[in-house]
Amino acid sequence: MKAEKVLTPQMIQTRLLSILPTVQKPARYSGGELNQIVKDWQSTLLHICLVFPDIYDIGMSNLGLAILYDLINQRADALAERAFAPWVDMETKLRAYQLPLYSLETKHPLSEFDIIGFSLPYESLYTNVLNILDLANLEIWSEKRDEQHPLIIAGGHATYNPEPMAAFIDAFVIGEGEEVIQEIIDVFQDWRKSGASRASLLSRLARIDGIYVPSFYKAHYYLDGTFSHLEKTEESAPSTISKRIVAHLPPAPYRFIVPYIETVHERIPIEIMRGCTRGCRFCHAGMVTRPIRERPVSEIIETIQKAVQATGYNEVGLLSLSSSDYTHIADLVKEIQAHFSSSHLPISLPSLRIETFSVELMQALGTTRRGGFTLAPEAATERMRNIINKPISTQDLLQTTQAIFENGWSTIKLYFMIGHPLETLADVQAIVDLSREVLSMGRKIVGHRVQIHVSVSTFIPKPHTPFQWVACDSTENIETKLHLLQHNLRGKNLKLTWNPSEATFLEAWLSRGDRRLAQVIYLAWKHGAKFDAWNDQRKMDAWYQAFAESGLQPEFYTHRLRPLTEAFPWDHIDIGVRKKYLLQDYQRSLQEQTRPDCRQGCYACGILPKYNSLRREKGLTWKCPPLKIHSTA
Amino acid sequence: MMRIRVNFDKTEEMRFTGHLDLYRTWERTLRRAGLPLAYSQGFKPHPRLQIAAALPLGFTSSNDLMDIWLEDELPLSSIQSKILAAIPPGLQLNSLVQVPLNQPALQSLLTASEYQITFLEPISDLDQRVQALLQKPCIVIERRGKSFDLRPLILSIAGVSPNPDGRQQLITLLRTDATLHARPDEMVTAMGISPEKALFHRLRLYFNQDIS
Repeated sequence: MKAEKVLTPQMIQTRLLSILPTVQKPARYSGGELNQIVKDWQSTLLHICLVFPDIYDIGMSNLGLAILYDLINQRADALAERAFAPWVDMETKLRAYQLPLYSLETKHPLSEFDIIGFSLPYESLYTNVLNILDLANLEIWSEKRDEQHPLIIAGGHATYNPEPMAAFIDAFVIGEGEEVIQEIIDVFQDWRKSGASRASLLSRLARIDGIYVPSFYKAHYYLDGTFSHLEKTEESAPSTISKRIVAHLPPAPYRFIVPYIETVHERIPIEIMRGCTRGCRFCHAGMVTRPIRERPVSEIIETIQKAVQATGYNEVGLLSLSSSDYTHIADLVKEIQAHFSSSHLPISLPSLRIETFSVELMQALGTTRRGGFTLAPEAATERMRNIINKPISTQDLLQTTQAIFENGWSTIKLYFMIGHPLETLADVQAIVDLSREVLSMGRKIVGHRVQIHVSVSTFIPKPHTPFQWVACDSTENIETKLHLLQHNLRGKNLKLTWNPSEATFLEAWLSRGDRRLAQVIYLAWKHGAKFDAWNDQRKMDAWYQAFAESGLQPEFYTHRLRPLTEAFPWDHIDIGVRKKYLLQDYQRSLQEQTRPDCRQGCYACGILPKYNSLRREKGLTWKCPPLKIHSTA
Repeated sequence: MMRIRVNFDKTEEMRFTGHLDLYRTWERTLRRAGLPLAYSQGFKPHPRLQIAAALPLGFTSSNDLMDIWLEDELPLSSIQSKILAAIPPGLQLNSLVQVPLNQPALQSLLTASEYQITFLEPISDLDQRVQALLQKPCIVIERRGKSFDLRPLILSIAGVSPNPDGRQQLITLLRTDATLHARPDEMVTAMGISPEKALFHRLRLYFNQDIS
């Protein structure tokens, strides 16, 4: 705690000189990259440390972090710096030399910041958050911190169910951060001038739309362990917390920090569209990011130009949940060709739909054939694809693979999931049959060079989706299904990859967990769990021990079919899509009934009335549903 | 086509990056500079640039050299200003000259490298350690499973006055060519000092012909 002497940035810098030569990839910890922003510490009022709780190599590719870094540093009264989870070798050194975790820009200990903001895109980062707080010499539990400590906030897709982390985080940002971060800063500055207590700061924050202060609520459970309700303990706190959205996509950042060392994505990320109209029932992102907002073609082209100039990257990734659904996709590809075809600038367009048009798009982009062509049917039978609402006919799929081979690709990557609701072994056998059919088609068209990579992950039911009621497939079933695939999908020109089922369960209990899991997360971390997203680091024993000591059952969270009437611990988080709509959609799935793309007709998910006033206020910047009109340009 | 020889420093911000990182950082810098880089042929074309001598991770340097090839002839002053506008914190541009296209690669002309070693903690018997090392007839060390004699590669070691922080320093000249090279951290290890207790800076490179 604060009683310990806090090291100055100079002292940290000096000690690093002899520590860094002894760790792997020391440039993860030294900062100083092109485009990092270093502001004067003394003369800037508010200090925010943005933390991605995995290593630098992964965190530096996170677009959300780059957006917030850019926005905060544009303000004269605030600065944003970065910190990441140190890899285990560096953690050992930090602890041995009693060095606190520090920011990359100015080497200030994290405890010296006013606000620490964690990015939580997925659940397997939770134990790293605890570890980082500990490495920063901060109390892990929110209730033990006060106005002398940094305010700990968190946001990101995982926080649409904030409950498992509620005991550690002071305030959650639900939804899109671009506007609300400004309001948080304003409220913080006002509060500091007032000299009031931490409790006063929290109640001011709770009044901001989209901010959830968990300490203002108490959870109640029934005797059988199911969740009953959340009781407000602070009158002014809202009963439901609505996610924040921005009416327009704000200008895309382009002055990205350029790491000196290799990171996972060495490219310029540009978000071309936010939201998705497809409604795949397993897809968390597709439900929580509604409505659709698109970035104009001209802005995308201009951003690419500015970003190449600012970074020197020679690759661009155009990001969205479903590139094919971007209204002006054909124009975009045409414009990209016109501007960049001669400048050694590969452009990737992920998440394309399974249709021959996608092959034309990739063809037009001049994409290299080396990386292969990726398709994500997610399931191999039409029945199963109807259940998960990703309706593609097998005929269309095979026509697409044929077009891919005929246009010069010899490698096709196929993504499937197993463990879908109502899945049978026949549906899994169909993955084998379909993959082999594509393989023999490839042999005929491209010959012995053909490569089929089949990637299989296990379905995890997520909160705020139509499948939030379903139970995870049993361990025995998953093992049987994996075995079937492993046994039948081997041989020449075939490659199968899958993820271990234990990783799946960890994500499964955390994603639909409640507040009681705080104790489990804490104990698991105490027993050594961290880097749970890493197959070579994950310590399942620590987790099972933590469950046992907490008197909780992992199966309660993962393998229980929830009654349709059950209240969920995340029901107070309003994503704009109504629970009733999700329930109807779940019931349709049980009848194998699909709900086509909502551009073809509105199903009243709730997003339109929810943000109607925002739409009016900002002048109808997005339409819902934007019925598909063929571009005449 | 024109060939430019760039004289640069790798500074503190880039200390903890390796040779490939340096290469990539230059590649990006030149792309940001908007220079008409000549690209290699092949599957994944790379801009043509050659760095004279690899610098290990953890080292900084001054008067490092690199050759780049441009598709079009441009005035040197304009190339210089474009690079200056694009250079990252970890690099510093000193000068550039045009060299004949047919000159051999810098790597093949290299003979020796001069290093400055700065010790982070006081070493009371530094002089004795240097003398003891120089008096050894051979110093067998191992690198990547192969053993070799370091002694003939050490051309000189000299103590110099401490740096402004009062830290002890040595200057050493080590043989560096296409077949053999000595590393100053290996030399420090041979003196019985942990290389983590020292900072390494390469001062300049020596070549077997006038390369400017």
